[in-house]
Amino acid sequence: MPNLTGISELYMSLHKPEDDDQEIVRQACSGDTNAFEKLLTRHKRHVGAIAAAHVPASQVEDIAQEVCIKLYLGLSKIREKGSIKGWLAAVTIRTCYDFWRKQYRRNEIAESSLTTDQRNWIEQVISDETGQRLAEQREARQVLEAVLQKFGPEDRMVMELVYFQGHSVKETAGLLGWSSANVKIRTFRARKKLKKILAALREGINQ
Amino acid sequence: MKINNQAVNRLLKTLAPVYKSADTDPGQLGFKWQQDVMRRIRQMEPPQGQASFFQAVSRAAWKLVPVTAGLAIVFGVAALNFDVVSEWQALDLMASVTDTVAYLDFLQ
Repeated sequence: MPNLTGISELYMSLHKPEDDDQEIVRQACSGDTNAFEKLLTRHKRHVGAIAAAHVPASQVEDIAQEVCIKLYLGLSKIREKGSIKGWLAAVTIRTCYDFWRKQYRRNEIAESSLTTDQRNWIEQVISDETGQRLAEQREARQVLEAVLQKFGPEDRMVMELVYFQGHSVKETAGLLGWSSANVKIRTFRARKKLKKILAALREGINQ
Repeated sequence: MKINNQAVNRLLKTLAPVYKSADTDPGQLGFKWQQDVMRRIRQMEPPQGQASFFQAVSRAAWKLVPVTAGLAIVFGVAALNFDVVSEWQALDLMASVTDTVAYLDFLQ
């Protein structure tokens, strides 16, 4: 009885999806839209998941559509570079960043003020209480949204990628197309701003 | 009131799993969404510089159709009004031909 797991692993090692992608990209480059649709079917969840992590759910479809059009127009670049997943991740992140820049430019970010419960939740967190239990509370998500809304687009992206998703400075720089030095400066500024926000909230509680 | 780095770290550490636990399921990218994207893609021209030689030539030919048609009309009108025998040829003939009747026949 052959070892099916071994065979499937061997098949996977010889037949990587990336290899398939290259062939499909080659066909799509010559104007074959059906080949591009295959590529879209294969990677839309990847794009959607990244977009859903960075923009409101109502915007995911639009962002993903924009990314797909960029993918179509940039097929020749992918053909030269090779990795489609990495390229898509970077383009999706940058498209989300552009979305936030537009939102801030149009002043469409709702100014949020925290409720007493949310302020108390923050107070509990910074007063050395067990974070695990607090993270499961309803206020946690609301505070996260409110805190992120207080950041500009650059700080917001840096906060999400570095602190919440755990990317390194180098990875974040690659995803956003910035220099590592710029990411470090932004990270530092974002922390400083968070400190200010927390201080302001504490002042509010104590008054 | 001063907030120290530890407090910031604690907040970030607590918020990180909250951020990760958020619903990032792109469930809405369904069939209809894909059809919309493909409709837009099909309306677009193939990615630049990547079309095959035949496609590039046919695209260039279609772009040249109005120019070619314009030139054909101009040349057609010009050809209809063009005097095939130039004046210097007529003068040359008049100088060499003594028969006036033959010369007038030629001009007609």
